Amino acid sequence: MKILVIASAEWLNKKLLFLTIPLVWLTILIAPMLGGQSAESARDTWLLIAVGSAFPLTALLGLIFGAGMFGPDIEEGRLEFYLAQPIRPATLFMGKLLGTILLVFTVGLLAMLPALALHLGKGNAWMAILPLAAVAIAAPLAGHALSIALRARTLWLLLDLMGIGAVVSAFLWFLRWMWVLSALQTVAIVLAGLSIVGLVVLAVAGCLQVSKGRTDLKLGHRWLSSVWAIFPVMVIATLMITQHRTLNVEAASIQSVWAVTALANGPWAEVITGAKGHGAHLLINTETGRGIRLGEGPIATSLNGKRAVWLQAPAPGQSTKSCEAWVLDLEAKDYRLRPTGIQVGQLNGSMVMDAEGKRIAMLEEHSLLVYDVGTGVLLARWARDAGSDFYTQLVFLDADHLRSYGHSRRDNGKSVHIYDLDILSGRQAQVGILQQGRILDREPHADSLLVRKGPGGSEGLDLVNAKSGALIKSLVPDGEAWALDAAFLRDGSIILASIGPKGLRAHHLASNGESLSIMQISGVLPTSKAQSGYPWIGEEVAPGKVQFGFHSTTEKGPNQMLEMDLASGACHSMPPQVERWDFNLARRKLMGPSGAGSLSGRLRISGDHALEIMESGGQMRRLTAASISTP
Amino acid sequence: MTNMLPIQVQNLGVIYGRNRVLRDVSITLEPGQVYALLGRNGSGKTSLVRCLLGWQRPSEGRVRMFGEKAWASRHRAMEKVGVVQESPSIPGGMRVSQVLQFCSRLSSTWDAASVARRIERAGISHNSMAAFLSKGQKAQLALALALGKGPELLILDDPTLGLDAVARRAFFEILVTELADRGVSVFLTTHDLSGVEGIADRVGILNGGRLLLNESMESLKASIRRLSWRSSLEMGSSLNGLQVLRSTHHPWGEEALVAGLDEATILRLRQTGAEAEALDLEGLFIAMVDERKEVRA
Repeated sequence: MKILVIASAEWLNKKLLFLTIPLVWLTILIAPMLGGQSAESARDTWLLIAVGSAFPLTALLGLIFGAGMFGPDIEEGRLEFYLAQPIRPATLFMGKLLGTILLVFTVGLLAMLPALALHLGKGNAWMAILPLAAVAIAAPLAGHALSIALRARTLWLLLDLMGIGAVVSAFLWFLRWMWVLSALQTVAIVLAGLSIVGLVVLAVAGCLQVSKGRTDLKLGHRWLSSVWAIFPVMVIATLMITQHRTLNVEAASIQSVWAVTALANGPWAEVITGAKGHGAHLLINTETGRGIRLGEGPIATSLNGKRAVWLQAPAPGQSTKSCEAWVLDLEAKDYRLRPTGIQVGQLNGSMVMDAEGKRIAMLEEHSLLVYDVGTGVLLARWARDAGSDFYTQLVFLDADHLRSYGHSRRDNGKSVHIYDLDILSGRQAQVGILQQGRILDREPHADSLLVRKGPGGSEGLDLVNAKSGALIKSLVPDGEAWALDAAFLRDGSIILASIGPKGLRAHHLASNGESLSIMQISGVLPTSKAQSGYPWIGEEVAPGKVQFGFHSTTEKGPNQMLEMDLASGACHSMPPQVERWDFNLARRKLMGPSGAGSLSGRLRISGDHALEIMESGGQMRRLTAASISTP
Repeated sequence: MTNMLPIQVQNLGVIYGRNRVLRDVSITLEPGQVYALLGRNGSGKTSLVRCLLGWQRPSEGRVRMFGEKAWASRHRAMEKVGVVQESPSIPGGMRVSQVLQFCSRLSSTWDAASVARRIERAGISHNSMAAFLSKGQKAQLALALALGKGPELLILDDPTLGLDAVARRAFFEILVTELADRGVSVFLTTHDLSGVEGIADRVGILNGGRLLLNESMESLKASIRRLSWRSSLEMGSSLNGLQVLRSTHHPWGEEALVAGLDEATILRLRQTGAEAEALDLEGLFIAMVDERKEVRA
C-alpha cells in the first residue's frame, strides 16, 4: 500500500510532463499531411510515426526520470524527507520506480494512442504495447543505475563498465555461434530471458543501493555495483551452457526430421530437422543417440566414417572471405568441434574429403583448393577463371589425386569436362569429356560412370568411362523411358529403375552393361502419365537387396518404398513413411560405396517425422521424438 | 507512551575516510525530556542526528530509538518520531495539500485536524507549491508535518537556522505549546542558545567530535561556575580534586570552568581569593568551546 502512496506522489511530482502529449499528437498528425498522402496511407503513416516516436520518447523519458529518481535527491539532500517517514528504503525504491514506470509508460501510450485507435481491429498494431511496457520498465532502471554510478564517481564505475563489456562480448560471441548454427530463435529466447533477469538484478541492486547506502552515494554505488557484478557472471554462464547445449544435442530431443543421409560407413548420419523455428543441420550418432548441431555451411565426411569437416558460414560483420573450417573426429568420445585454421571464401561448389579424412578439396569462386585437415596447410591451389566450368563435382581418387567433373559454360552446361589433378605436383590435365548428361553414380573402383541424359533421363542412360567420358554402352535408348534412376551395387553390377510405356521396370545389369534380368513391378505406378512421378533407387540393404522409391509428382499422389530381392525378383512394400529425401545422395554416391550392412539402408523417417533405425531383428527403433506440429 | 527510552546512543563514532567526526559519544534521552545538543559548525551534530534517524550507518557504537536499532529498524521507529531538518527537504513539485496527503497516508496516527490548524496558524495556503514557500513557512510546515503523526519523540536538527527573530520565536512558541500539551520527548541541536534555554531539560556540548558536557540544565546552573584569580599564585592548588572543564591563563590572571561545585566548595574557593560567576547557557557554551583562549588544563 505504501508503495502506491509513494508511486502516486512520484507521478504527481512530474505531472507537468503530460503537457507534452498534445505536442506529440500534433506532430504525428501534421507529418503525413506534409507529404500530401491519401487518407488510408496517412493513417498508416500516423501509426508508423506514432509507434516510431513513442518508443524513443518512452526510452528517453525513462532514462531521464530514472536518473532523477534518487541521484539528485541524494546529492542535494532531499531524500531525507522520504527517510523521515515510516517506510522501508526498499519500499521507497519500489514505489518511486513504479511511479516512474507508470508515468513514462502512460506518456508513451498516450503518444501513440490516437494512431492505434485508428487501426482498431486492423492487424496487430496493439501488440506494440507489450514492447513499450518493456522499454518503460528497462529505461528507468538503467537510468537510475547510470545516474548513481556517474554521480558517485568511484572506482566501482570501472567494475560496472567491465561488467557491461563482459556482457556485450559474451553476447557477441554467443550471437556469432548461434548465427553460424542457424539457431537465431535460441538467441531470441535467451535474450528475452536474460533481459528479464537483468531487469530483476537491476531492481534488486537499486533496492539494496537505497537500503544499504541510503543517503551515502558512494556506499550505495558499492552495493549497486556488487549486485550488478552477478549479472555478467550469470550471462556468461548462461550463454556458455546454451551454446554447449545448442551445439551438443541429444537425438531424443530432436523433433520433425525432414531428411537424413547416413554416412557411408560408421554410425553417423546427417539429419535436417524442420520444426518451426528450430530447423537445424545435425550430425547424429545413431548408436549413442548423441550428436552435434551444425549450421548452414557445407559438410564433408570421410568414406571411412571417422571424420567430418564443416565449413562455417560467415557470422554477421564477418567477411564473406573468412568462412572457417571445423573438424569433428567422429570416433572421439566427446564430440568437440576443433578449428582447423583453414579460412576460405564462400564456396562455389562442393567440398569433399578423401577416404581417410586427411584432406579436403573445395571450390572457391576463383580457385580449387586442397588442404591438409590436421595442419590446416594449403597443399594445392588451381586458379579458376570466370569462363571455367560450373556445377563442378570433385572426387578423391586417392589421397594425392583428385578428379573434377565440371559442366562447360561454352555449351550452357551440356558437356562435362573431366580433369585429373595431382595434389603433390600441382599439375592438372583434362583427361576426357562427356558430351551430354548428368552423372548419376560412380562405379566403386572409379572406372565407370552412369550418366543420365535429358530431364529425368527421358533421353536415355549411358555407361561411360569415368576418366575419358567415352561411351561404353547405352543402357536405355532415347525415348524408351520417361524417367529413370540407376546406381552401382557393391559388386559393380548396375541396378536401373525406369518408368516408360512398359510401366515401372527394374533392370539388373552387369558392370559392362549386359542385361542380367528385367523385373516388371506392378501395382505401384499410377495409371496415367499425368499422375506419374519418378523412380528413385535407395540403398543396397544387403547384398542383392535394393530399396526402390517411387515419388509422385502430384500433390496427393502416392510415395512408396519397395524392397526388391534381385535374385528372385520378389518385391515387397516397406512401412509407410514420409518421403525419405536423401539430400546428399549424389555426393555420397560420388564419394564411394558403403560397406555391407551399412547404416544407410536401415534409416527411415516415420509418418510423424521421427527418425527410426532398423535393428538386426528387423524391428524399428526410434532415435528422435515425434513431431509436435506438422512442419 | 512506551516504556522504552526514546534515545540511547552508546559509544557512537563516525569516520569519513580518514576524518573522525564523532568519537565515543554516549547520550540517553528519558521520556518527556528535552535534550539540547550544542556545538559549533562542524562539531558533528548533524552526523549524530543522521545516525540517530537511520540515515547514516555509524562507524562505531550503537544507536537505538525506542529500543529499535536506528539503522536496521528505522522504519518502525519512525512511526513515533517527528523530524524537522535544518533545511526541510519537502518535494518542491508538490502542493502543500499534496504533501499533507502524502504524509497522512504513510502514518497510522495522523491527526489531520491539528495539522490543518497549525498550517492555518502559520498562514500557509494549502494550494501553495512547496517550492515557493518562504524559509520560515517551510520550517513551520516541517514542524506541522513532524507533529502531525502525534510523535513520542521530536528530533529537530537546527530547525531555526537562517530564520529571522520573529520566525524563530514563533517556532519555539509552537514547540513549547506542544511540549506542554503532550509531553513529547525532544532531541534538539541548535545554535539558538537563548531559544532553548527556557525549554531544555538537559544539555550536551559537542566539540571536535567529543561530547564535552552532558548535564541536566538544573545541575548545570547550580554546579558550574567560572572561577577567576588575579594570579596563579593566588590560585595555587585550589583546583585539586575538582572537576575542571577548562582552565585558561590570561594576562590579567587565571580562569577555570569548574563543574560539580556545591555551596560549601564555592565558599571555600572564594576564601582563596577566587571570584565565582554563575553562567547562562551561552556563556557556558562560549567558555567551553572558544578555542582562541589558551587552554592549560
